[in-house]
Amino acid sequence: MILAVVGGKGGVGKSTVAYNLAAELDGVVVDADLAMADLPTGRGPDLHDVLAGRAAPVEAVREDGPVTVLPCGRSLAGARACDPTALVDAVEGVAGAYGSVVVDCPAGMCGDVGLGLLVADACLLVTEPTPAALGDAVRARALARELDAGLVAVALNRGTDDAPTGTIADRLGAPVTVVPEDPDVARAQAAGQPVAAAAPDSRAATALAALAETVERTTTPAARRFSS
Amino acid sequence: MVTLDWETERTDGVTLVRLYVTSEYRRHVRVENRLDGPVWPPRREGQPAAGWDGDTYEGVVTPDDRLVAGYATPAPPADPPAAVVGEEPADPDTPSGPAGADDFDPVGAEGRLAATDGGGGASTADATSGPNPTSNGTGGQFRTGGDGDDPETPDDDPTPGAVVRSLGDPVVPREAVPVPDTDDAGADDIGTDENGTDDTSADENGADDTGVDDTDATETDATDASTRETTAQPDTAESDMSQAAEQSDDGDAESAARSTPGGGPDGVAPPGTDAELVVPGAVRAWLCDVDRRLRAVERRRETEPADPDPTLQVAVAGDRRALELVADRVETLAGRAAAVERRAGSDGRR
Repeated sequence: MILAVVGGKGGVGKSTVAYNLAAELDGVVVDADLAMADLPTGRGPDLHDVLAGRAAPVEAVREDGPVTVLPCGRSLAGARACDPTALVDAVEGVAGAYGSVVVDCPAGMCGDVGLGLLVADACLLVTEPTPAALGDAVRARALARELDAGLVAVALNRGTDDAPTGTIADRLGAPVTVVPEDPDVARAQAAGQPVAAAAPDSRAATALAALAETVERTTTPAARRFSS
Repeated sequence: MVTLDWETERTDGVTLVRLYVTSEYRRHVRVENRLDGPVWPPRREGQPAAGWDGDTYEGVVTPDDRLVAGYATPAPPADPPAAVVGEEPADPDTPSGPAGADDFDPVGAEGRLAATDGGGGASTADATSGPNPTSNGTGGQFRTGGDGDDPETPDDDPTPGAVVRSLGDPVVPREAVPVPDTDDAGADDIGTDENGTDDTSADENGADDTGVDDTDATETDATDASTRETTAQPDTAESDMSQAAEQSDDGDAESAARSTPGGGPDGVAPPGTDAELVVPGAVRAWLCDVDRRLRAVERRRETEPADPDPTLQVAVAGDRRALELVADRVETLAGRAAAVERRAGSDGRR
């Protein structure tokens, strides 16, 4: 299963949600933000090398961290030398080897976001309860629809209990899970850990686990019943 | 016989129903919700998706193509959630899939439109925009192949190349890359900032205007004339260059060749080291365009050998001229690059 995490607006928490979802789903998170990568990286080949044909996709996957990551290089020269369309084959290759893949898409609506959605079976929208973020979420949602990446869930990041989840679910057409503002998230990130490992009892961890469960439930086909 | 399969799932007080209709013969079927609540059909731009009318969904099922529908309802799940309430032999002219897909389904609509009238694609997107212009922005643009720059080619399934063309190549602008080899690349030649800027603007324009090259191929001569003049006035080269780039790719390539003999290599060759030899985005997009046009002509030749599309023929002829022009240029540059490398090998310089 390949899940694209999109949001339109930058800074709403796409990478944080993608990283933690991959931890919950026991999958690989692919940092597909070619020019402005966020997820942890290390030594060895990265996505830039994969997209420039210098490394095999599986070769660039790091299993040594708390979450399995296909990191992205940080250099603009590396980003410029990539063939972004190779992302589709690369992600499919990783999915073939590892099963679940979470693609952390960049902000905006450019071709790289489209490629993440194109390769994905489904997508998850991350947004915030602000007009700018919600407006961008609506546009990202439209793009996902065009590229046949069904929306399985909406993560309303830094949401409060009184957030208008009903209206948002109605407008975007998928169940909304509120991920509350939680200092444990920042602490977990500083420690390089998923929230579930650093603060398993925190509210954010509970919300992210619920989100992962929604994703799992929706992307796994239910037992088919027959009739005639 | 028409068979209805289904899946139901209850989430947060909402039941999601998936229906699959299969049939051994081509049939027009109507399926009606049997759950005790209102039907919330999928919507495009605020309008119920193709095939939906109130509680019923209708469409054409064939032995090869099952009919699939999904909807939500607040009613609790039950078996069966829906039932086939009508079936009749389908009109052979009606395509399989939901009824009225022409109005809503951009894939089906575009496929048909593109086969007969390429330019009509954009109007379909407008027609489906409905009351929600914000979400239409990208959607329509994507499906119709962007700003109408390549109306000849049908977009059957989105391909990675088509996605990049429609949404924009996410390539990092050249001037954003603070690599030391930028100096290196220009060291042998003029290598001024002006050249760098020129090349990049031409690069970007090339990416955006790749569809223009064929139609404007005839303007190349005019472009040449203007760029020849600029050879004597390097200060105005930048504005003229961008003009040239806007006018045509052919002119672009040739003007690079004539007006800035030193800047030429930067424009065509990637700036990076040997390890980063990847075709630049603009060139990639252009070649992708040409490839698509050729495929469209070839496909048309297979299906309607007696009726070639004159627009496409002209476009392909333009492509051929442009390709030959670029091929010559590429060969010259490759020769120079090889010579430079040999020299670098002998005296330790690049």
